[in-house]
Amino acid sequence: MFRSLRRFLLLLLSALFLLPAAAADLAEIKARGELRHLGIRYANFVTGSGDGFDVELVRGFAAHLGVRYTLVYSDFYTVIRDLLGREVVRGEDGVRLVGDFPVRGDMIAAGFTVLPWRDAVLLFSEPTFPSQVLLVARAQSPIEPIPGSDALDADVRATRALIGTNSLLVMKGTCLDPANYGLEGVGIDLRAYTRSTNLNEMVPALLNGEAELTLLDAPDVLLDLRKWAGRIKVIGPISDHQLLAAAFPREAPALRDAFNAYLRQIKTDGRYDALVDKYYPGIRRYFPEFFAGQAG
Amino acid sequence: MSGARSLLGRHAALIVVGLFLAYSLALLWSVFSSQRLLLEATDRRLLADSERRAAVIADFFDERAQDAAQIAESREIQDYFVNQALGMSSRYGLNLSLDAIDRRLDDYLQGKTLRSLPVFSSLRLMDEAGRRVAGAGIAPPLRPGLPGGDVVRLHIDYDACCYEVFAPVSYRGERRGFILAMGRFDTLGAMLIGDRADGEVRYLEMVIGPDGRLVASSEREPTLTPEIAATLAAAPVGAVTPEAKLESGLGLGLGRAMLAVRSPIPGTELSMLTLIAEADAHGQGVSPGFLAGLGAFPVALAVVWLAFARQRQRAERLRSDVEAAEHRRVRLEADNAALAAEVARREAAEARLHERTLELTRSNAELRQLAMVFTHAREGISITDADGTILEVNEAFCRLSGYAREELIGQNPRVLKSGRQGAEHYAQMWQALRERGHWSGEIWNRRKDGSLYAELLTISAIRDDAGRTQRYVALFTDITAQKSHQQQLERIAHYDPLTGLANRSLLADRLQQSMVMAQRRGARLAIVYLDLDGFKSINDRHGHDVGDRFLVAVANRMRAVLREGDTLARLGGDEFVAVLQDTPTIEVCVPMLNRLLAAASAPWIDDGCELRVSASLGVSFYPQAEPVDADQLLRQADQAMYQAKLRGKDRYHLFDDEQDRTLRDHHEGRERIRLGLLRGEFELYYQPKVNMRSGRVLGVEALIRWNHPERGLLAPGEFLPLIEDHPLGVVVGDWVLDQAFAQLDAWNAAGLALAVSVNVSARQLEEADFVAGLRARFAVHPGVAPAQLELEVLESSALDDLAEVSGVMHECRALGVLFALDDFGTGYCSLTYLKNLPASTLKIDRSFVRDMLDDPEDLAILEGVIGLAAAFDRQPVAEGVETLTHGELLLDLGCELAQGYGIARPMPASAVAGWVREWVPGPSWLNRPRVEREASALM
Repeated sequence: MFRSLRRFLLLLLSALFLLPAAAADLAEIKARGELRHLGIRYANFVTGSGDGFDVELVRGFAAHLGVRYTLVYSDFYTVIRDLLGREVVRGEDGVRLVGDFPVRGDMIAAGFTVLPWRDAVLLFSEPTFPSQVLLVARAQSPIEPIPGSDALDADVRATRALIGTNSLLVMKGTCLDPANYGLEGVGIDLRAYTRSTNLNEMVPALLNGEAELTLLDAPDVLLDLRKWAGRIKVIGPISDHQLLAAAFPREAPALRDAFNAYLRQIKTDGRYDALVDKYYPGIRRYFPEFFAGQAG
Repeated sequence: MSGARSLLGRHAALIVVGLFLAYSLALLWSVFSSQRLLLEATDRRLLADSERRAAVIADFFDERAQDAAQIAESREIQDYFVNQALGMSSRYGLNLSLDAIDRRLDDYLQGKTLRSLPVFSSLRLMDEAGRRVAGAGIAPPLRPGLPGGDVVRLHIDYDACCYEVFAPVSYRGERRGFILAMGRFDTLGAMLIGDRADGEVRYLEMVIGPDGRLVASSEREPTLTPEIAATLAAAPVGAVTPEAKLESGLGLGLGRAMLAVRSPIPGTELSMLTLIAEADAHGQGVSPGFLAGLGAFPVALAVVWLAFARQRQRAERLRSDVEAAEHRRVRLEADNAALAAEVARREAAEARLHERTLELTRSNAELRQLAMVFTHAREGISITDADGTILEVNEAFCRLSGYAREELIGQNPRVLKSGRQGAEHYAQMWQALRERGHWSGEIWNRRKDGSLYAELLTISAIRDDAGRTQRYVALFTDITAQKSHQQQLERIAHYDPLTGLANRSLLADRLQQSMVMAQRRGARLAIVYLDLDGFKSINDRHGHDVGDRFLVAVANRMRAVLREGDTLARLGGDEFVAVLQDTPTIEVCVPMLNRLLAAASAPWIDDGCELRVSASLGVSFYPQAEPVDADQLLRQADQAMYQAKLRGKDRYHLFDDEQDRTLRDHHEGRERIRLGLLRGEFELYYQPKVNMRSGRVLGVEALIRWNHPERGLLAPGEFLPLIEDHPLGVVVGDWVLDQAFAQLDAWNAAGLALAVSVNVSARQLEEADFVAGLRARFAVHPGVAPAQLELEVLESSALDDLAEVSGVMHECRALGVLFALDDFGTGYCSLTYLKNLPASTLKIDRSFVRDMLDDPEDLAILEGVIGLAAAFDRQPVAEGVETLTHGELLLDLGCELAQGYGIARPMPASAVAGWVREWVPGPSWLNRPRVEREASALM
């Protein structure tokens, strides 16, 4: 009996280590010796060339844990499935997880917006970066930018009113999903961009005449205003200030907590500021309150 | 004569003294003149130095002006004005432009220094009203009365101790502000030179204003008072002024007598003032008193010489006695010297022997050291004779080559030859050895086990004193790993990691090169944009791992069908681009396109499951009539690929300029239709269908009209073709169904029971939610019976996608909805299909009805269709009935149902009820007796 019990315990232990489809928390990752980072090619968060704000952030976290770092590329439509091994289905009655798929990563960090429906199935870290969704037009567009005021709500309303019957380029399933901002089913001519899941392609599509307007997030606007200077203009805000954060399976609270501790440490010792200035110089002026709150 | 000689002999000394005196006086006069010329030359040099130093300060200010002008034209400032002109808000976008300017100015501030001092203490961008827009550095508050104008200006602010440079900033020819660059006087001071000795000033440079105000000094704490500075400001230009001759007569109080030189600084109101110690500039002069004293000297010298002559005579006598004694002493010294030389010679020999012994010991130690180096070096070393025969190799050589020492001694190094280098490579190597005595480079060799390895090899020739080569020493390092790593990096930078094909970056490079070569050779390129149809479903059904392996297999097949000089690249996902060289005509290109299509659509077996996709190819060509760049070529090919998809996929489509313009026109037309739909510019008209014999109105056909605000009422033929194969066609079709249901509801409520026929496209029927949509409409309009709705499908489009369409038609029939095959007779419907398609009505195409009175063939077709309908128990409806005679003949042929202008034109919904009430059939139709087929007389 004793021998059977020992055999059973050994099998159980092996199963714990050889369970690729289940979520891995901190202990399993340290035992495995590897942290798999799910990254989506997006602006300067994950450039696609092996670097980026979130790439360096998570690489530093892996070094902090003393494990090997591996970058696994995904896209906005499959990244949650790659993390949880289950597909996310959004319906009128909420969010469901269905199916059984291989788990390809341990955490998501890719300029990932904290949205209510994502929060229902994931554990988010403390905020890593601020964002906001803006309305952008071609420079020659007859639509004039709003002057801006101290009241963000009023600015958002004024911007939405300018959409009118103009066509609007969006990308479903991402931070540019019109459903997040009440833009669906209200008579707006929505054009879903489906040729790629790369947000970097929204401005080229706009300039190519695929729509009159496009939604675009503030980090992309920062880069695109330099790259396409004189060819695009920001009309105004479509959303409130948003937060970006790293995401973990709900079964990995220890890993999330370890990441939060690491994040607080690098905000104190200046490494966080160095990353922000390296990849997004100028973003501090856009979100002064957020970055003032991050100091020390 | 002897008396004269005796007289001359007695007075010779006096004559010599007289001559010497005359000579000395002449020499003194010459020295005095030379001193005066030297002073004048020194003064000229001081003036030239002062002017040169003033020019250095002037250059400094010129450079600052250029700096300010350069900053005014910087890209960040221009981008800011562009964004401002676009009306962007300072909260949403313009703030980012300002941040970029701040950082640019800060970088400039930190980067421009002079002897570790910043040339600017602050840089600011000001608007036209003088308000600060952006800036870097610490600056004092702005003073009033800032200069305007369109040129760069320099201003000296004596109170703030700084210099200011103003550079206008313009945008599109309009002045929008200016750059205000400020620098401190301290920086100027760093350029000035000063010198002190023993606490006293020897050399001092200053920059002063027109009233003598001190701007900068080479001394950290200038000691001159304002009064003295004002005096110095009045010093004449172009002259060296001694301190004693200054206007005020005040001394400078510097401890030494100074010379002052003032030179204006060009382009400013400032002056460079140089003070130099007079003693240092002119040296210690020779005074007249000194010269007089010098003149008296020869006289005294003459008297002394006379006394000395007498003493000399007495000394002559004594000297001869001394000479004899000296002679004896010299002989004795020579003997002693010879003895000492012998002793020294023997001591030198001993020293040389000792030195050679030490050298030998050192040499042996060096040889042992060299042997250790030779043996234990990590690099492979070999020594050959002049013919190349190996004399010695070290352990590393054996280890790296795989050969034992004994196998190599006596061999030639060509035993390691790999065959990867040609004869020319070795010829160049030997030539370098002969000419320069050494050669270095990379070479591939072969180990004893046959494997190849890369060496970084250096060969040196060892020559004797006559220059003849005695030995060759070769030294190499194994760099195989580095070469492999280098290739790997090269691959990562330029190749897609999944398929090994060129990536986007390498594609751009190759396409550019191909375009240049095509221009040069007058050749033609084809650029093929390839997208796999249906790949997404493979990923969704089988997972990304299978999808990746499938992509690799497809990529390999496509690569295999291309020629050597062609390029295949993967852009990402399931998109590829091929660049085909030398395609002078389309006919040359087509076989390659077909091979690509075949390669993409070949089946692939994975784990017993066969996977297959097709491909859509878009092709553009280069060169074109208009100049075009690489990006435009790719976009054209991309658009052509999209056309291939629209036309049914699994094909190629050639980019057509004309068609591109047409596509753009179509796009604009579709956009206008979309807008019209949103604005409610469309309306349904209705054309009645009747039973000619009984006079009953069976229903109406819904026909869309466009109340175009500029073009008036448009028939479907003027706009529907634009959206036929477009998703917008489905949107419009859905709108028509919605309108038809609402109208049926209204007529039912008014007591008018009609059926409505609605035209639907095959594309609409193929929409996944078409049947569900119909169910939803019946649910929203419960008063509408399914049998009141008839869907008309073109016979030709039903046949194109029969399996799909047939399934949907059966589902709709299950709901109770009726179907009619429209324009019947124009397609190629077989009897089997007709039997199985759930269409209760066949609408005979208007072309047969229109010409049936004149064309026996059309009449025969009409008869055939009517007979077919009867055989399959389908109801025929004749379209295009324009006259009573048409109706009579149709009734005689057995077709009772009809619609056409001869019955009624399409009308608005509001007119239908009235028309139904009023209409009566023609008298020759009503209750017309049925005729046996054989009795019908036609012509």
